[in-house]
Order: sequence, then structure tokens, then C-alpha cells
Amino acid sequence: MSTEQTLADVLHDRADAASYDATPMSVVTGRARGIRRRRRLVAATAMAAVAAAVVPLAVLLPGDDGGRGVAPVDAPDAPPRIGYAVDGVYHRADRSTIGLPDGEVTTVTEHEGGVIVSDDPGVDGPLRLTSVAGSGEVRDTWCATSVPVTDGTAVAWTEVSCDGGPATIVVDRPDAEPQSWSVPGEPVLAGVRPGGGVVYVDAADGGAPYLSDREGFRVRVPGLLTATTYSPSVDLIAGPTPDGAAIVTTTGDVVRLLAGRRVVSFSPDGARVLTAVDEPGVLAAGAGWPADVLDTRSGATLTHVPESEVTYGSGRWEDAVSLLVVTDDEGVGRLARVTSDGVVSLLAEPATATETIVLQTMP
Amino acid sequence: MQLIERAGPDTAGMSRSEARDAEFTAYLAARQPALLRTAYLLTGDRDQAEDVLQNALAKLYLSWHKVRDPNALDGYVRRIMVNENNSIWRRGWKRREHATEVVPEGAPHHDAYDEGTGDALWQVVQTLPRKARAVVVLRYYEQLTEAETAEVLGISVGTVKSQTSRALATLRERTPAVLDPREEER
Repeated sequence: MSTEQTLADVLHDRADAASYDATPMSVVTGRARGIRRRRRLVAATAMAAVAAAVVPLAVLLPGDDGGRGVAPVDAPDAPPRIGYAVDGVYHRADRSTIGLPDGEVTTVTEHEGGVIVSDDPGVDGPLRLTSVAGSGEVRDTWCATSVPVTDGTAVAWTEVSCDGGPATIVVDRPDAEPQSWSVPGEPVLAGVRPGGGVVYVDAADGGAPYLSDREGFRVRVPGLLTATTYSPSVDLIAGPTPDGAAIVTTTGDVVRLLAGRRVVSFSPDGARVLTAVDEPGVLAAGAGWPADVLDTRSGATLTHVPESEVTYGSGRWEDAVSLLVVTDDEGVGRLARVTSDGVVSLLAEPATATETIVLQTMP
Repeated sequence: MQLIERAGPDTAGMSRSEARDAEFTAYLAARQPALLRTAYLLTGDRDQAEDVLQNALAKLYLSWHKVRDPNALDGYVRRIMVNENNSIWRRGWKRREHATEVVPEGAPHHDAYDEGTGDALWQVVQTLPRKARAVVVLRYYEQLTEAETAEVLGISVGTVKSQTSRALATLRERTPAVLDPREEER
């Protein structure tokens, strides 16, 4: 008998002799939820874009409210005023829908009458973005280093060869030709700046935060180790420093130090900031996380978000004071609204979802 | 966008998530025993094999829509299992152990395997570097070709050949009574 055959026989004998317990489906789905939560945690802390709050388009358009934000919701359980994706369908704020391509959507950003969705990179694969028309037709798909970001009018994304190589940043405004430029490293977008440039972190440079203008010149933001979110309204960046989280100007001047916290997102007008308590073990636990809404300038606590099954990184500003969050009760997702007084109300829409609910990306 | 076409349960009328769960459950029932055996050979430990496979299946579940070729499912899981097994070792053994105040109930598992010459070979297989061991398992247990093994492991065919050669040389050197190189020369 050859060496190879002897080896094959021994391996077969050994494998057959061991006893095994079958894994039930519930264990697989439970582990999948844990993996998904960890991915969200990583995304929310390392990718500012994922954690960025989103402003409804109307917020940034001139209007009776002076652009400060739409009127607060009438009732705590009123339908969501931003879009959301669940079970392969995107529900716009106006209640119209778009059928999404097959796949697990991690972000959804409205663009040119349709949406750009990002796929889960999975085990080894690159991040993939897909542009979907309002009819549900797939317009384009490409590899990227970052999920899209928006300031309410412009949408920015990255493009990269699926085999790697330099990345291109693209900023598309409804009333202008798309502008694009190449940058070194692996840009992960944090936001679109008022002048048309972007704020991004370079994943190839330890997450260092940079400003990049439309000509491709980049300047490192001093002071921050990385950026977790950016407010185009007030042009402030938040991220960790050796002394805790900080909110800084684009030149690195510290506006507010927030020790023991992690900054998740600014409100649409930049006046408030959603923060999570950053203590060892709290965020690593996965699901529930204690959080507070603080005044950006003074650091005063405005709203306490009760610790619950709110999924970390799911918070999106619906207006200047109201947050939408996704709750996760053992795989059953619900949308909830956190009002300025800290009351959490479950929304009737969508109905109980076994799939992840993904809220619309906004500024 | 094309929907996944797989032989499996009738998923007509189901929502996308329901269809995925039905398809995945069918795959789990059909393939789990074989995959557990592979996981056991990769890890050499029954509990660790179940842990590695459960993580691999969870990742497959999350990426179910991406695997468009049903024939590629097993290869996909094997690749994740190899990566998981390597990751566990990179994380360190101590971090995989969890101290408990109460000794778990239940009888210990005893594998029904004789302690003969084959056991000596198995012991040496377990001492192989993890990548070489993965090559051995895929080539001689799963009976994959060198090209298939290279694809699953994400390495070149040349690396598969060199890893195989080194592994066999080690096995021959350390278990001469079981693997007689003279058999090869005939």
C-alpha cells in the first residue's frame, strides 16, 4: 500500500471513529447574529460613514424652517421619516418602495432616484457597492473601500479594482458633473465637506483622519487617532484621542473632550451628538448599549438613551432631536424612536422583521 | 439581479429570508456530518471541531446569497474552517478556554478508535504545521486535486505540492513502521 493510501485510510478511520453532536439551525443563526453584531461594531467604530447620522433631504434644502430641520414627529409611534431596508425591499420615507438585489444590505443611500447599497464583505471578499434604480433595476456594481456618505445633496463613494490598487473618490451632486480623484491608501469616507472635498480615514495608515480636496491634495487632521464621524453642518470631526473621545475642528482645535465615551454621530444641525459609553466590556457585549445625546459645544447631557436591546451603530437622526434605532431581540428586529425626553417608542412600521433593518444613510 | 438557483426545498411563496433559511436548513442536514469529520481532522479535537464548524456555518449563512454555484458550497465552508482554525490558534489557546465555577455535567467523549499503528500516524499528523495539515486533510481525506486544494486554501499549486511533499516526508520519517518509503519506489 502506498504512503498516500495508508494516510487516506488512517484519516478516514479517525474521522469516522469520532462522535459528534449535530449543530441545530438555532445555534448557527445565533452565531450569525453575534458575527453580524461584531461586524457592525467594527464598522461603527472604524468607519465614520457607517455611524454617521443622516439628514432627510428636506432638512438641507431651503425651507420655512430655515434648514434647521423638519418639524418634530407628531406622535411617538408615527411612521419613520427616513427610509429603511428590510428583507430585500427599501422603503422610502414617502412609503414608496424599491426592490433590492439579492444579498445582505449593510447600508443604503438614496442617489439619483434610486439607491446605492453596500454588501457585506463576508469572509474574504471586498466591499461591493451596487447602484439600483427606482425601478429596482441594477444600474452598476463595483468594489469599494468605503460605504457611501452624503451631506443631504451630494453623495460620495469610492471605487477600487476588486484586486486592489489605488482608490478613487467620487462626489456626485445632482446639479453638477461627478467629480473624482485618486488618493493613496484605503480611504474610508466620513463625510462630504461643504466645499466639495471629503473627510476620510486611511485604513492603510492605521485609520488616520485626512481632509482631501477635489484636486486630490490631502492634509492630516491633527490630534485625532482616527475619525468616527463628521458633521458637514458645523465642519467638526469626532474621534478618539489618547485622552478619550474628542470633537475637533478640521485644523485639530479641540472643541470638547468626552472622556469615557465614543462619539457615534452628530445631529443634522451639528448641535447635538450621540455618544455611547465606552467602558471595557460594555460595547463588546454586542447588543444593548447605554448612550446619551450631548450638547456638542458644552458637553451637557440632553437625552439619556435607556440601555436596551438597541443595536450599536444603528442610531440615525430623524430630525434635529429625534433618533431612530433598531432593536434586536434575538434576531427579531424592530424600529424604535428615541425622543428628546429619552422615551423609546416601538414603531408599528415595519412589522416584526426577522431580517436586519438597515436605516437610510444621511448626512 | 439573478436569484440563487439551487436544488433544494420548494421555496415558492416564501420571503427571501424564509427561502434562505429553508435552503440553508436543507444544506445543514445533508452536509453537516461530512463537514464535521473534516473539521475534526483539521483541529484534532471534537469540541474545537464543532466550534470551528459552527462559526464557519454562521459565516456561510451570512454569505449564503454570494455562493451562486451550489457545488462550491462545501469548498467555501472548508476555506472558512481552515481560516477559523488558524485564527483560533493565532488568538491563543488561553483565550479559547473559559473558566467555570461548576464542572459541566455529562460523560466525557471517547472516540471509538483503536490505539494501533494508525494511531501513531494520526499523532504525527496532529503535530504538522496547521497549513500543512490542512493540505494533507484536503488532499488525502477530501481527495481534492492539487488545484482544488490550492483554491480552497487560497495558495498556489506550487505551495500545495511543497507542503504535501514536506508533510509526507515528516510522516515517513517519524512513523517508519507505518509508512514504508520503499513501497513508493516499487
